[in-house]
This record gives sequence, C-alpha cells and structure tokens, in this order.
Amino acid sequence: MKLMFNDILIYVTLFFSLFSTLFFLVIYIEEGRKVKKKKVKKYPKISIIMPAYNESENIIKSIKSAKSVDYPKNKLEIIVVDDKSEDNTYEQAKKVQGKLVKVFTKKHGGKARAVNYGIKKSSGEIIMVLDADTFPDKKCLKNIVGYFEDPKIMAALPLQKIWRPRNLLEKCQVMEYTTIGLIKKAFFIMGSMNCTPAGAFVRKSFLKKHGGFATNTLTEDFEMGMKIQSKNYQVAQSLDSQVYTVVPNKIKKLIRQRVRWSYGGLENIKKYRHMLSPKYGDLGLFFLPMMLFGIGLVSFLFIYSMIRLISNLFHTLYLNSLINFDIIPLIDLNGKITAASIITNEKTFIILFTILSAFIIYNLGRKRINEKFRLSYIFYFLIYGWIMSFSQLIALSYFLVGKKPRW
Amino acid sequence: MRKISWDKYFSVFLITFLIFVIGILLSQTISSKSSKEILKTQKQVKNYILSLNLQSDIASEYICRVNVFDLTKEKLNLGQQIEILEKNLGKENEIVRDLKQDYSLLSIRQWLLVKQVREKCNRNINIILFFYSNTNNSSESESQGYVLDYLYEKEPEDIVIYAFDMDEDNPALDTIKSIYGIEVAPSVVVNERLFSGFQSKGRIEMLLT
Repeated sequence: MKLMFNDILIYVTLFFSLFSTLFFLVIYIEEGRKVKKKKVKKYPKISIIMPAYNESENIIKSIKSAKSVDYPKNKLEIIVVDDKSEDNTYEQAKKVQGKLVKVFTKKHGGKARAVNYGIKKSSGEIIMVLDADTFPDKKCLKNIVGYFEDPKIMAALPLQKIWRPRNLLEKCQVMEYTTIGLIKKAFFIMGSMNCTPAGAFVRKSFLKKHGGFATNTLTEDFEMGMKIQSKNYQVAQSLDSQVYTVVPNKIKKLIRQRVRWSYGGLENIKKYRHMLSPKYGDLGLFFLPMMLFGIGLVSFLFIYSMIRLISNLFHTLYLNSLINFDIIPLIDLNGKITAASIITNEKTFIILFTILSAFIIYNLGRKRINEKFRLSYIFYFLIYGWIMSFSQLIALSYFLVGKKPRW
Repeated sequence: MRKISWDKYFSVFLITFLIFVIGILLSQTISSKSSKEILKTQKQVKNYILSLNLQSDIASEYICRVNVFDLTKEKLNLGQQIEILEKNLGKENEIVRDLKQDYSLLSIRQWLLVKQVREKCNRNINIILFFYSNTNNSSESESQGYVLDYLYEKEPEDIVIYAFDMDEDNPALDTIKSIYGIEVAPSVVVNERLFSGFQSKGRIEMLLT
C-alpha cells in the first residue's frame, strides 16, 4: 500500500487522538479509585473574592448565591472588588454589604489586579476566586476543603458546569465541560493539573509566599497553575464540588474566549518552558508537550482540511459545470463507489474506535456528575470541533507573530 | 525528580498499536481487499472474458439476438469493483494492474462484438472509445471521464463506452491506438470519428445518433 501525505497525516492524527483518549480513560478508571479525598478535621476559613467589572446586572445574584453556600458562616467571608466599573456595579454591590460581605472599589486595572487587591483585604486561609458570572453549588465548599488536608495541594478546582444552557452552542459546551471534567481529573491523578480556572480555591499561604495572580498575562489562572506546579506542589480537581458558569452563547464570543485561552496557554508554556523536562515528571514529559503538539496539529489540520475542502469544492463545481449541473444521473454511481470505499478502508475501524473511546469518556463523565445524555453531542462532534480548531489556529498565529489578541 | 509513569505510556501505546493492527486486519477481512475477494474479482474478470469469447462465437451465428446493453451493465459492475480496489490498493499494485489489463482485453473483445452487432443488425448504438491517462493531462482526462459517465448514466440504453488507459502496456490496445491515430490524452472516438483533447458534453451529444 502506497502511503500518501494525506494518509500519513490521518494516521498521525488518529494515533494521537486514540492514544490520548485511551490514556485519560485508563488513568481515570485504573488510578481514580486509588485517589481518596481526606476527611476535614477542622473547616478552614474561606474568603470568596469576587472581582467585578460592569456586572451591575449579575452582581447581586452572584453575591446572594455565594452567601447561600452550605458552610459555617463564621468561617466565610465574601469580598467584592469593583474594578472601577463604568456602570453601577459598586452601588449595586453596596446594597448587600454586611457582616459577611465586604465591598471595595479600586482604580481600573484588570481582573488579576482586582483579585490580588481582594486577597490583601482577606483574612481566610483559603481563597476562592469567583467571577461574577459563576455561581457555586450549595455543597461546593464543603465538598472541596478536604483536599487541603494534603499539604502538597495548593489549589483545588470544583467541577465547572454550565449555567442554564439554552441554545445549541451552550449545549455543546455542556458536552465539552463534562468531558473536560473527567480529563482534568485524570490530569490531577497524574499530578499534572496546571490551571486554576473560575471557581478555583487557592491556599493563601502559597499566594503570600510566591505572589498573587500574574497581571501581565491573558490567562492568570493558567499562570497560577503553572506556578504551583513549578514549585512542585499540586492542583486537585474535584467532581463532587461544583460551580455553575455562564458560557458564551454566540459563536463570535466563544471564538474570542477560546483564542484568549489558547493564547494564554501558549504564553505561559513559553514562560515556564524550563518545565518541559522529565524533571517535572508526567507534566513535563507528557502533558505539556502533548498540549503544544495538540495545538500545532489541530491548527495545521484546520488549514490543511480547509484548503482540501475548498479545492475539492471548486473541483466538484468545475466538473459539474461540464454537465450543466445536471447531477441526478450520477448520484447513484458516486454513492455506490463512496460507500464501498468507506467500508473497505482500514481507517474506518480506527476512526470508529476513536469516536467510541471519546464517547466512553463523555459517558463516564456524564454519569459521574448525573448529567443527562444529549443528542446535540452529534452536532458537537461535527461542527464544534471546527470552531475550536479555528480558535486555536488564530491563537497560534497571534502567538507566532508575537502579538497579543486584543480581546 | 517527579514520577514518570513509563508503564502507563507503554501499555496505552501498546493498546493503541493493537487497535491499529486490529483495524487494518479487520478491514482487510471484511473488504474486497482480502485475498479471497481479490481472487474472486480476478476470477470473475477471467471467467467473464472466457464467457464473452464463447458468447462472441455463439453471437457470430445469432448476433442480432445479443442484448448489448445487458453486457455493458455487467462489465460496468466489474469496472466499479476494480476502481474500488485501485482506490484502496493504489495504481501501482500488481493485482490491480493485472486486473486492469484483463479488463482492457475484455473491453476490446466486447467492443468488437458490439461493432458487429451495430453493423450487421443495423442497430442504433452509439459507440464511444475513451483514451485517458493518469499521468499526462490527468485533470483533462478526469473531466472527460466525468462528462462520459454522465452521458452514459443519462442514456444507458443508447450508448456504450469503453475506456482505456493510454499508459497501459498492451499490444491489442496499441493496435487500436495506431488504427485511430491516437496520440494525446484525453481522446475520444465517437462512432468511428476521432477527437483529440477534451470534448464538451454539448459537442459529444451533437455527434450521437
């Protein structure tokens, strides 16, 4: 069999996808049982820091939801930091100020500066960073503090769930977050979790010793995760502790968000490039290189597939123009040949197996967090991946030309 | 120094590799790529050539009773099977090349029979010979093939088309090429008239009776 470039590319992609999917699956199933959360001896004091910028519509709802968590009230404080909003976020937040809720305002300087400001004002041993569009589940705090019994754990992440998904795009993100939750768990099990996204809990002693959230990056949460790992500490991922987050409901917004994430990821891998080494165990040897390879491969595949798709489209248009677009007589003939080629192609089985493994991951994750099965998964598979690939390509292009995305 | 899970990487690599091997083996078993199927196709072409040889002997006596279009349909099925094999095994594969040569011989044999039917029985059949190349001017050959496929699928009861690979090393084919003076690909011979280069749908339709 003569291998063409196209075949090699498909095999490399399939091998990479199947290997990583199976890897996460094996880790989750085999090692997951061994990881046990410790029982809490004494509830630590938690400070929930809520940075807010132009959030007048959500802020009261967010504060109320943070106040309603099931946690000893004498061990809880909520610190709202208004980043000099242009609307009346500060005035709105002030309305619910009280013993539990403290509200501050400061010169505008971005999310990370607002969080750091809040940390300085806090008195808790554990800091929870909660965006104004993220709402903790009632049991969120109680279910996560056990991880901090382990002195190696410097941060713990609740599972992110989507707040009231309505349209198809939001439902697709439910699938994505469900699958990613399980993958993040596998990252944690392997001691390689390297991000502290919305709703993360971080040990204040670490922040005091090694500094707060970085202000010169697009993804301060990723930077924090890398910082923790670089000091040979761990980030835990919980599936029982949950937060609900509002996700982009339009493709443009989603692409902007993902470009920011991917760019921030690359920026921080560059910053911590010394960690791309076996000295940092599985993270340095496998997870970080895999992330880089993944972004590169996905971006390349996107360009390559688009060029092929467009050239095939023009070619088909050209061929059909020769028969004045009277394609009906040819449909049967083309259908027969295509169907037979698919059945007899050795890639078909491997592709099916890869899809099956990915589906098992999704289904395990879905069952673990009691999420309903959704038919939109099919759409997710067909279209959503393209949106993600496109975002990664944009992020990579910005990164390679050394320009920061303006969003 | 932090932990590296070599055992996990190795075992998952092994599983992935095994799935690839199973995938390739399984597809070969269920597809026409399996040796059994290939032999069957090969045997089918050979049997068909034999039966056509016999058929032409019989037909020389009862030539006007031969249903030309039934023969063409059967041949077309074989052609499609070979095309699938060619897609999967590649043009350079020995079995594919062998089958294509047998198929060309079958086409020539059938073409001669249909020509006789047309001449002796005064039947209104449009005979098209199509000479293509996968190496020279292959995109024009592809376009011409597409137009001819279309014309055949549109009027399968009026047209018979025989396609020949110009680059095939076949003495019988060389003879036909020299009879019609075929030098470039694509070339079409429509009812005994040669046209070199790509011919549009409208042009060929005008030449059909």
